[in-house]
Amino acid sequence: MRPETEQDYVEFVTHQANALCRTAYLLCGDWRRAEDATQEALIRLYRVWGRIQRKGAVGAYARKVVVSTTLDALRRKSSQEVVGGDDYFAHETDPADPLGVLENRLVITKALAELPPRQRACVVLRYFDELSVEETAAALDCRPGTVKSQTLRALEKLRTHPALAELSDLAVKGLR
Amino acid sequence: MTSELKTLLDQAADRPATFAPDVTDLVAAGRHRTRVRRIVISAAAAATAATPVIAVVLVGHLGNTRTAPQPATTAQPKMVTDLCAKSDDFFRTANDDAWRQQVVSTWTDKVVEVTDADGAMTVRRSPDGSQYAYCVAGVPMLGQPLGGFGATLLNVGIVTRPYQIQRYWSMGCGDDPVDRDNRTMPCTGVRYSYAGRVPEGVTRIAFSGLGQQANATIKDGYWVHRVYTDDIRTGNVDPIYITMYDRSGKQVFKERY
Repeated sequence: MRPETEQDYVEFVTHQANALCRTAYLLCGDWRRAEDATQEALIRLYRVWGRIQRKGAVGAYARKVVVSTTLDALRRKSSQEVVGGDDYFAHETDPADPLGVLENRLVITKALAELPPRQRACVVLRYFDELSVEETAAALDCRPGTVKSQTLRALEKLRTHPALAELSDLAVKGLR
Repeated sequence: MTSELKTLLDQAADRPATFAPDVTDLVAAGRHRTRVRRIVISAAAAATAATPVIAVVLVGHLGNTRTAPQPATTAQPKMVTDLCAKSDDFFRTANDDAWRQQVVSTWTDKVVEVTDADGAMTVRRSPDGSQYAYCVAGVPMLGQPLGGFGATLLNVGIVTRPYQIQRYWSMGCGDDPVDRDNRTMPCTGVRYSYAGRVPEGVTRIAFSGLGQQANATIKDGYWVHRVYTDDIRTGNVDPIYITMYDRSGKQVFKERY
């Protein structure tokens, strides 16, 4: 890779790594694994950086790789082997953040944990990263119609989740 | 957009520390991956180019020696019994059967290993000495190797964190002699296998939990250890802690796994 192209990569990582890691965290519920998935995605991104940069879709591609890396790590690969597996979303409070118990963050994290991975990804990409339906479809490598249906199902589950029952937006804005 | 949901998600993903990986290390890892990929592609291209030549030679050779037709046989792929992964490429290697098979057969240099009645945990070094893999192997039952059953990446930064720990778990039946050919024996044990790179300054790595206390085996900058529980259902009562100490005996790391 040419030095100037590599410098662009360095600047991208410097400015975007944290945002990508936050997305990964909402997908897997564990900061350590989110960091690992983000780093893995950034390493993969390096290899194709020049080509992706020429297409002008670096941000979208990076997010796509982060999502696929994180979801891949959640998936069971065979009947006998579990990589990560059920240890994700352990529902355990971060000991360094005792006040977090009292905050809403745990409520939404637990609610997200109960969604299937694809539905969780739809919610995170649509409402956290604020992607459009088409952009979310591109990140998840599926059709826009799938994103719409998965998002609708996810929101219905979130709306009926006991801990989120009082979330007025979900109830009011025609998401039934 | 549901603004309240957005707010909740923002709060959930909020934390005081910003994730800032070492970009130099990321670039180095990216370069390494690119180099490896080029080598693999070049090798594949060379093999493809050589195939017609080999085919011609073989056809010519076979044409001269007429033999009776033989019944077709299908080569059975050798079962991958060891569960191996590299800490700096965990996501790919832990799920790549071909890579694991290659490691088991050709990475014969064992840096450090601990064995027991249920199998072994080994750190293997690549033939060129540049890469390391953590492998867990089980013992056979009814002639079928068990291998490892699962793996997790624990507190392992691909490039940024000093504490690299990998955990596997597999079926275990304890240290007493057991009839391995008896599949129906009541066996609810689990053997947890841990391995990692010894962080700089660390001279002792202690394990406590499940009613046991012991030090990990350390050699050439890597460590391995195995912990056993008779019954996985009681494992959470006394959780496993890994504690690391420096030369002066000062504790420098402690985490529950």
